[in-house]
Amino acid sequence: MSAVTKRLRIAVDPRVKLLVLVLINVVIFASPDLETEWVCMGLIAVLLVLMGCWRQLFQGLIFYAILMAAAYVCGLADNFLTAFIGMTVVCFRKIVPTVFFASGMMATTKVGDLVSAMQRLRIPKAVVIPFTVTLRFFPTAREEFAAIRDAARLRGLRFSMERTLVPMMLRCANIAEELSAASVTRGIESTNKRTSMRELRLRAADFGVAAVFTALGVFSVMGGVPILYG
Amino acid sequence: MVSIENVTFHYGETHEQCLRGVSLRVKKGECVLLCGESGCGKTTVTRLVSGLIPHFYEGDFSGKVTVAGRDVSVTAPDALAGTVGSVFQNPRSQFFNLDTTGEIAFGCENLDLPPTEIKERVTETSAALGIEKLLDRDIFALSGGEKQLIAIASAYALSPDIFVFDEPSSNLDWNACKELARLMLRLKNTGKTLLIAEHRLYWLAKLIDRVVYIKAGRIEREWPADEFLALPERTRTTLGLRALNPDALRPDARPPERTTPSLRVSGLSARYSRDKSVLRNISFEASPGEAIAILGVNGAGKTTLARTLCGLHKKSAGEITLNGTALPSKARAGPFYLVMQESGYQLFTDSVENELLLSKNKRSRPPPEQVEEILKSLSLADFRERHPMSLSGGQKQRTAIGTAMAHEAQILIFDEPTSGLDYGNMRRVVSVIEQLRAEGKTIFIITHDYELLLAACTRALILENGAIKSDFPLTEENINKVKEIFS
Repeated sequence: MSAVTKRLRIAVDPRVKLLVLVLINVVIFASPDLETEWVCMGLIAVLLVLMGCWRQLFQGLIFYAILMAAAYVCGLADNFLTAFIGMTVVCFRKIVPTVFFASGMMATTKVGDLVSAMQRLRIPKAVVIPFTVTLRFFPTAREEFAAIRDAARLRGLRFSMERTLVPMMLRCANIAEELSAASVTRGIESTNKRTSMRELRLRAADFGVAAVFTALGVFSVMGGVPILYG
Repeated sequence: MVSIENVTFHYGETHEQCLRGVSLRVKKGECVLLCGESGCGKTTVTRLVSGLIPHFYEGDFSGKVTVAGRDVSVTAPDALAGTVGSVFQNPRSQFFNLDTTGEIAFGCENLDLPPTEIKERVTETSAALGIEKLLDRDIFALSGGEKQLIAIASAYALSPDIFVFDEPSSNLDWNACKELARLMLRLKNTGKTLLIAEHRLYWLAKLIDRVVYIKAGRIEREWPADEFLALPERTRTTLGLRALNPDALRPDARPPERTTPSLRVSGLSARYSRDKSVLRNISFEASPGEAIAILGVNGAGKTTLARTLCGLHKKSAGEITLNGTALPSKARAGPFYLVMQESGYQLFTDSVENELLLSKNKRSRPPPEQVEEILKSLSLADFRERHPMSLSGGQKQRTAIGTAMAHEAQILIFDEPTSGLDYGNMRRVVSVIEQLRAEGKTIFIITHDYELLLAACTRALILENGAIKSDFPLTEENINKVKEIFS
């Protein structure tokens, strides 16, 4: 299995991935019928296989199946409570295709490439820089949190929001100030537009993926699978 | 290249740190060291040159600063970015990307250079600085020293003529300092001008041309490098400066007169994942009044040993016995205490006094008289009402030590207690450690500060690949065994 899929595997351009992400949302909101949703899930599944995201593929499909089953069970009974739960389950199911694709997207995209894609799409510096720094703050927050948790354990103190969040915010504020000082010396305030070292190139596969999902988007805006019945 | 003329500066809100009538000229290709006690204003001088003053840190500014012919006060910082490169103290808070290559390119991208040129510059930079092996790595997985090298590289990529360093070695170990010095020498040899504010001095000996001593915001003295390096020990300590020549230092801590071991560690092992053991069969004994240095290269297991002793890391085998009772990890938090490198993490309340009173339950709350005594003995009595976060680094550290004393910790482990401290503050840490020893505490110190090691420790425990390589009293005769680690 793996030898075949390795040969088929494609690297999708991050710009195309962003486009696909948007189109999936269009599909889900434009056509409320279940069949179109299945078509969409099927296409995403094929794309994830091509990108080599087996783990995300299985997780997503299993999760989707569970939600489908739950909605079906809720539909069997006929009272207010099950109807309400059923509604909630369906709402969750509607988000699955987006999360399904996004998990595969994050697993196969380098942050630098994503930033570079945003720049190529002429997204302004005022959005790109905060985005970069935010991503950089996740691991920092994790380190800070671990250090504070250790310090509390050393004194036998139990976890409390006040004791954890206040020191953490103070420390992050410190880091943020030092970080801004450093960024000023690296020319962040420059009024030039900002370039990117990484060069992205669209390949045939990218156009293929974009075309398939654009077609799906248009199809669902026109009415989705029901129009085929006439 | 750099000319500072009669500059006087106060920071906007606080008036604590300021410069008074500072004038300094630095020639092209010169390497100038700014030294002096903490808070003397040497960092402020580096900020004048990088343009952070007056553009980022605001305050009352008078005088004139010219860098490469440009008046800094009217030049936008981004226009200066290609002229002055800055490297700061804390390696953790001066990068913006998650990967090293992206970080080196960051400045060039901001200044809108074409992609092909940025790529060339990244390749050129890594070749010129000899850091090819660090490209395309996750920055969060790098050591502090490696992060500093990346910080230099990302400044270098903008090809500035002047490099400004603000205490670049504060968080680095002995080997990382050597690596940093090697890189800075390369910069100097390519004709760059270097301005360095620093506490630790020995590692800069081969680099500097001239030394400027600042005290309370004024330039007090200046020496050519050779004259400075030949200063007698007495002059150096009166000026409050760290050791210039480590070879001149002698062991200075008196071991306790009687040793009756209270702590017994036998067959201690610990691992991170199932197959990666970090500590292997560690056994030793320690007595009240001893100060034991835990030494070894990066990755030898020093931190894991400290964390395992305190119960922060699970042991996979072995036993830790205190006063004849074997203690499981949960019971060790309390009698064992770790004073972290950044002790700001360890303070949770809104005043120094409350910090000492904070306990896990009412019964373990220390009596007020004892708190009073501890505050006095650590010279914290005047700060009892202050918020811990408003204290200086040394005061925070003493507050953290105070909490351990208030809860009768018997074993105190210090992780790099003197990183970034000047001579006066280092001596202060030494005297607190002496005081703790006199009270019968057992002290462990993880340190790469050779001066602290000789001033405070009575014994050395050298780790190698997670096992004890040697364990000996720190005496004149044994000093060479320690030097091996530090070279």
